[in-house]
Amino acid sequence: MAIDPNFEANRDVAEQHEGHRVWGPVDEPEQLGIHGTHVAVDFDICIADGACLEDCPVDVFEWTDTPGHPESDIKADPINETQCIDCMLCVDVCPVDAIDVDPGRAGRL
Amino acid sequence: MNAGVRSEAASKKMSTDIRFTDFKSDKQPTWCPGCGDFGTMNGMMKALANTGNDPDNTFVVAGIGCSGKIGTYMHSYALHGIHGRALPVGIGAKLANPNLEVMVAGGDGDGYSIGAGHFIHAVRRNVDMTYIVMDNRIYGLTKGQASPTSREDFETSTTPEGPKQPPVNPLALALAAGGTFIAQSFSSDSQRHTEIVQKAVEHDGFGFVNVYSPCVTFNDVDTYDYFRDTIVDLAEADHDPTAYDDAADAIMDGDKEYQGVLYQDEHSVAYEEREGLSENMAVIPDRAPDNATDLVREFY
Ligand SMILES: Cc1ncc(C[n+]2csc(CCOP(=O)(O)OP(=O)(O)O)c2C)c(N)n1
Ligand code: SF4
Ligand code: SF4
Ligand SMILES: [Mg+2]
Repeated sequence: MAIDPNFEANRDVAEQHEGHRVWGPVDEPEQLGIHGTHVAVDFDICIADGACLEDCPVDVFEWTDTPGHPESDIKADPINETQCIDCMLCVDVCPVDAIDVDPGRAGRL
Repeated sequence: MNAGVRSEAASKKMSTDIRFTDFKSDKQPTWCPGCGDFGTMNGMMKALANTGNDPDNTFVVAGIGCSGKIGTYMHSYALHGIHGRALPVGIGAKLANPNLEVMVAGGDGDGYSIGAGHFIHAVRRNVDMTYIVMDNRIYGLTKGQASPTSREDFETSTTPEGPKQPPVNPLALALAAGGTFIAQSFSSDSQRHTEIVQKAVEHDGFGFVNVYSPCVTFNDVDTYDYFRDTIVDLAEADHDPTAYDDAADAIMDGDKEYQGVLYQDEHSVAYEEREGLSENMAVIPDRAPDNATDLVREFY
């Protein structure tokens, strides 16, 4: 399963986290939703591979602890999504298609 | 993406609240994921927005190469020129209409091999415009041949044992040609890159910035990691760009990868100012002339 690129239409904002939105449903610790809007990471798909953290040229991602989540207990959190330059590298390298980047969603924090 | 709607909203805005995203076109870049050109373009758009420009007064002239696609991805007036010859088009446009903000962009091949002649003469004419070279030390578009900035031992399809000649130092070329603003930045350091390009835009004369923009597909030596590890930021090195001798020392020091404004002539007067060319010579009619179709046909 890949991240739903139409999450804005299909989900509601559940909360804010580190300056970005979290798109629900959220039911911690098993269900965490999608973090970020311009750079969106589906925490329920993320397996903490780390390629995006390593490769993003402008360091958009940082690890955040998510103990008790079935896929992984850390997640790549797009805490600097306003820095994103839309190079699509993270989308390309993510082995589980957990990331969607759309400059059309930029500015909607 | 929703760029059509966005640009309509943009046109309703006053030019004072132009955002850098207003300079994005609705075309999705075909650059490889991770290409340095993304960051280079991003900083250019931010610098234009920060200096109070808007797409309506901005003219981007692009060369040929992966870098040359930038005119399509930015929302402004633009012209995708011929290889190596973007600069004279930019100069002509600026002299015809000095109210335009002119930004010329191209690759290291475009600017320093086929376009090297135009480069030095554009530098010495000192027209008030900005020239961005997206330097990835390779010919990207044509799939990986050595460029003038490639390392001496960089093996490529055309140089199986490396070019066996030292790379050109574009900053030194600019200094020797009488450059009044000579800078270098790194596409991945968004903030500094934006600041540096912004200074080039604000400079009264020819603002030249060589931007390290890594090619992630054909250059495995001049990588993001390489630049991150080696870059020396002049902002932290107590460098005075207005002191010519210090600038010349830094520029001639071929061993260091500097980021920052290496040289700026504070007393620079742009060519058009010196020559009293302040009038807009470009008369833009309200409607196309009646014989426009015939005129266009002449070129087919
Ligand atoms: C007159 C002419 N000669 C050669 C070419 C082939 N050509 C296209 S792009 C290019 C070099 C591109 O290198 P660079 O300017 O560094 O741009 P990059 O693709 O690396 O951004 C060449 C030689 C051309 N298009 N036109
Ligand atoms: S698209 Fe590029 S800049 Fe944006 S988060 Fe992904 S890797 Fe980073
Ligand atoms: S080939 Fe190199 S320069 Fe061209 S788009 Fe790909 S990464 Fe960028
Ligand atoms: Mg190149």
